[in-house]
Amino acid sequence: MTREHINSAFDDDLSELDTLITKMGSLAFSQFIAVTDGMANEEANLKSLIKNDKKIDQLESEIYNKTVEIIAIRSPQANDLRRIITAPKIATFLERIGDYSKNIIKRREFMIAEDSDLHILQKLNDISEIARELLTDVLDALGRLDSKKAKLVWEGDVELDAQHSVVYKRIYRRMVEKGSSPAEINALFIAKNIERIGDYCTSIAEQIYFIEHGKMLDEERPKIDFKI
Amino acid sequence: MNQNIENIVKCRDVSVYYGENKAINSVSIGIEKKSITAFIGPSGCGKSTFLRTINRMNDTIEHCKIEGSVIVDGQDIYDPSVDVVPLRAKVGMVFQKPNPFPKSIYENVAYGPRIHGLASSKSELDEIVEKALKGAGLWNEARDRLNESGTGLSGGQQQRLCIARTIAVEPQIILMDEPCSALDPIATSKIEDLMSELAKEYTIIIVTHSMQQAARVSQKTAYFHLGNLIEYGDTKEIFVRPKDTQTEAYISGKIG
Repeated sequence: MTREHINSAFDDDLSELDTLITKMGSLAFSQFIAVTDGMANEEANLKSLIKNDKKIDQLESEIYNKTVEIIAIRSPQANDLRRIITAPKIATFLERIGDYSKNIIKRREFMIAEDSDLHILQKLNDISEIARELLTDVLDALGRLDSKKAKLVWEGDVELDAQHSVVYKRIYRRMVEKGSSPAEINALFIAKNIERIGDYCTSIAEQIYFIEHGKMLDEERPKIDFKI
Repeated sequence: MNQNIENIVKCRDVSVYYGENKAINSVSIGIEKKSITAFIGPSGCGKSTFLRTINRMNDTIEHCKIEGSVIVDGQDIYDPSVDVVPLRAKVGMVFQKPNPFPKSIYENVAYGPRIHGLASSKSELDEIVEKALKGAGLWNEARDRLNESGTGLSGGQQQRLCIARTIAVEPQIILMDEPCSALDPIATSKIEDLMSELAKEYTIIIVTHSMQQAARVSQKTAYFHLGNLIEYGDTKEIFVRPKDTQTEAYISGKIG
């Protein structure tokens, strides 16, 4: 990191905060990749990944502490202040993303216990792929504080919503036609978890926009009407 | 800028030279009545020099030349017909280091009203002194020791005595040049609290090196750099969303 502030210790503090956020982002990201890669595969042991969520939670708490410390000691202003004040908010969104990955694992464990066929989760491959792209892009935008890219993520979530709606309808119709089974109900819950991760990507994108522009995005976000 | 708010000070194209050296470069600014305006910027940026043009304190400096116009309450203060003595009563000044006269607390405050003929009797003068000390938040601490020397007060009390001395002659504007830099945090808080109270009656312009102080007390902030007025606007905007990258760099501690 190049020296920006006259007081170089301030740069060190900011750099430390950035490192914590980057670490938390990559943990949340790799957790989601591992979960969606393995969820339809009966051989995959995802239960062991649950412990990673504790590490994500721990980082959230470290980010809160570091933020309070920087505000108390450095009295940040303007862009610095926005960058610092958004850190705990972004950490909370990443923590929620981690929680959804954990929920998917738990739901899948429940399916295994019920002896459900995990292949139904292959129907979620498309929405998983879109959510992964959104998460990749928003973390990249966050690392470079690129509000243009963040805005593309913010706009792009509508695609995930649309595909989620398609998957939902497909599973729902099958339930209506053939009678519902626990596997389908669990698949719907998992699909919803994946869709919510997209929402948190847009929330992070809004914070990136705020850091650069000093105001929230005031446009109407593209949305679809969810109808069955 | 809100057109409904009256500007009590209007500076247009003001340049200040110390000999050949141009310290202020064509600054135009309007100062709102009964508000607090902060001038900030690195050392040598011209903020104090500019502050001193508003009551002609620069007149006392040899080879100092001023161009442009400074209108205070409708009057061009650099017009040759202007008498600086009443001007400096109208535009009072509080300095960095408290500088009470080596006289009693009472005399420190009574001196100005007496020479400006503001009191016609002893009891009237007593009232003015009491009102000024109350206005400066010093009455409760000083009422029983009015005959003691002003220099025997603590630093913060001395600074409030200087403020009492300034407001005793009923100014419209109070210029403050780093009024808290010699004070501890408690005395500083008292002065800052007092400033908000004073701004109900007076227009205050403060030069400060403390960005936090500017952010805490002022409604408007002007950022100076190398004799230029870089940015002027609502304090909240300047500290949250400065428009100019130089302002951003300064308030974020990126340039000295």
